[in-house]
Amino acid sequence: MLARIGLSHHKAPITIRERFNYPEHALPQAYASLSQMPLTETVLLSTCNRAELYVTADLEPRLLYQMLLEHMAHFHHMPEESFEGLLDFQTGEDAVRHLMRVAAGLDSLALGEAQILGQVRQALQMAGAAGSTGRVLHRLFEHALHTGKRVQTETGLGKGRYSVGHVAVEMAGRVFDQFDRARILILGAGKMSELTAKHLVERGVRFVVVANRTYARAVELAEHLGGSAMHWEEAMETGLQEADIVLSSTSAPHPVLHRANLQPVLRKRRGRPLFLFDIALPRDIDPDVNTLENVFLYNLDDLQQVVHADTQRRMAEIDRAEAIVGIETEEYLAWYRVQEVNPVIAQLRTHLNALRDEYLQIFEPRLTGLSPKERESVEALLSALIDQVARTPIKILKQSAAEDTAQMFDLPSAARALFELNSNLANTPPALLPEQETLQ
Amino acid sequence: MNGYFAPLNILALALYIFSAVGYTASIFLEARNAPIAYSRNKLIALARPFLLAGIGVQVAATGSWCVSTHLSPFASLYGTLSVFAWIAAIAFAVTDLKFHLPAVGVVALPIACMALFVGLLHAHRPPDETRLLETQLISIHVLCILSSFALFVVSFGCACCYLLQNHLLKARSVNGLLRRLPPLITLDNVAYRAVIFALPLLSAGLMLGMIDMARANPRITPQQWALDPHNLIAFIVWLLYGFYLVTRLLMGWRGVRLQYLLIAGLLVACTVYFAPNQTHHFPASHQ
Repeated sequence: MLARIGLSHHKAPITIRERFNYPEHALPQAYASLSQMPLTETVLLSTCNRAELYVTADLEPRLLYQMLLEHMAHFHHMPEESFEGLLDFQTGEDAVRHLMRVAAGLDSLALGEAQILGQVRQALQMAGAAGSTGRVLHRLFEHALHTGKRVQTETGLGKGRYSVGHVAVEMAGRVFDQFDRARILILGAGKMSELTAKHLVERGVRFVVVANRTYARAVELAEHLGGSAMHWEEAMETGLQEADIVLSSTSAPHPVLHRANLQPVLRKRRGRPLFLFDIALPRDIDPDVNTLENVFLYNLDDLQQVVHADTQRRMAEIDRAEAIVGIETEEYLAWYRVQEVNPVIAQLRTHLNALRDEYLQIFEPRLTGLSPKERESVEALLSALIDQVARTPIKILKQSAAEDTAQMFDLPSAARALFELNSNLANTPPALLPEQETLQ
Repeated sequence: MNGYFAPLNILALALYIFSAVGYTASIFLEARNAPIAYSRNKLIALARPFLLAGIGVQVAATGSWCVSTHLSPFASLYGTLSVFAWIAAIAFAVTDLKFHLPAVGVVALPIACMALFVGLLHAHRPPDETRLLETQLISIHVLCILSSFALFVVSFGCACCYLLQNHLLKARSVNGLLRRLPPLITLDNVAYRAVIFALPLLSAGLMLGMIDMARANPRITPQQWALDPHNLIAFIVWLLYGFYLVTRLLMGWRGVRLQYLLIAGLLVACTVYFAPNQTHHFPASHQ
């Protein structure tokens, strides 16, 4: 069974989401912990807006849910009751459709954002590196990436300001008329900072300063963005004093910027507006900072409002994207269902080949007079007969699985019974099997 | 006697009101079924011609007054307020055309309409035909003061928009209004530019007034002049805007507090209308 458990920005506030974040350095430990459980495949998808776990397992849904819930509580040191109500648990088609929607940007905080594709890809790579993916989840994530790309290219959902970076540019534009004069300070040299800063640079920001606890990393990102690097302590004083826009995305577990350390800087700024974007999870900037005069603080949840404002205008695009998601979900599910009957088909082939060999052995005394060429012809004849006999059941099995009608006719059971593949099913009353419908 | 002054000003008032409604709608109306930019631009494209037509009609009205009375329009409160409304409308039109700030019109145009309307309420009063009003000096004095006040109206409009935008950003009230209001820096810069032109005009107006008063009434002492509520208010206004410029220009201050200063400046300036005057010799134009 394929299932997904997790929490996202829809239900879980940022205060909870930041507790369930799986930072990159914690992923090996998380996968190691999951490998102790009776799961076939696992992929962790952790972004600013969600922490989700995709699994395949031969377990009852209720049992699987309880097991994953306990894992999350144990791994994040949170009591189950504190977050259980915020969790989503889906299986089968619902889980597949959810991931397709996520990759398409339909479930994102910034509707239609492109960054999620990179995050889905990275999740798959990390799971691959941890050796936790198999055929089902690998194919699912690959398919989700394909869906995301289709939505990006075939709809207008990917056009405009739909990522955190785009929204940041839009909001900063409500304060600054010309970006070429604005100074941007980047705190933390993570991927999110880089992506968001890139949007601002594309819009004309020329003065970029990067500060990071690891100075070398700050230098690296500054060079990449065409800016300069600054030591962290200097950034907390001079950097903040000179900046117009601050992008904070450090991996610090606690806020790095408080009202108390911003107040003296503000006095030196003499009322110049300061736009702070806290795009980190856990948050980098104390929310109290927004109460300071001429300071505007937006965290990830605040940016959600910006996105909602645009949603109405893009309903048509959403419908088109949902249609693509629907088609791709069906396509994946068709493949997935075929995978479920593949073992039966393989078993059928093995059984028929064994029968052929068995009968060849039984008739061996009568075949001794045959020349090698004649013997070869007899064996080929038997093989062709077997193939011909098996062709229709196999075709119908695959077809009905892809169309999800196998359950309706109980075809796998019918095939097993017809060819005596399973002793348990051999006693099934023939009247219960729809012979005519399935094997014609 | 006043020629077509009143009917033309009524027409101008109607045009200004239409224009103000257009500008206000362009900022506050949400376009449900059409792209916002399209609807907004269409409304502004309708409001602008009304504004320019109103300005043109007021030129005709003032010309009609001068031709029929052979007096300066400042000979009456009606004429003075009419000219003030006209200059305020021009100041906003220039701001809108140069900086594309329709939002400022939501504040500036109603003030111009109000001034013109109050002026029309005083249309029945006969003009003051004293000698002073016929001098060029006093006309320039009034013109300078009115021009500075009109520019203060623009800075007031910018400050109001600034505070509203500031509030929306602080409250994270990300709606269409936030996007239709200009960026804070633009509003701050335009307000500053308006004051940088207005303050010298106010200074010149006050100096010309003092010169004219000293020439007309040599017996008035500086103490009497200073205690005249009109002069006192004008001086306070001058100080407020002077303080604004010093903090903005020399000390480099920006932000919310300066916007409050701009708002306070115009509110204090408006009290001139209600203040009694003791040293002015043309009560018709100074209440």
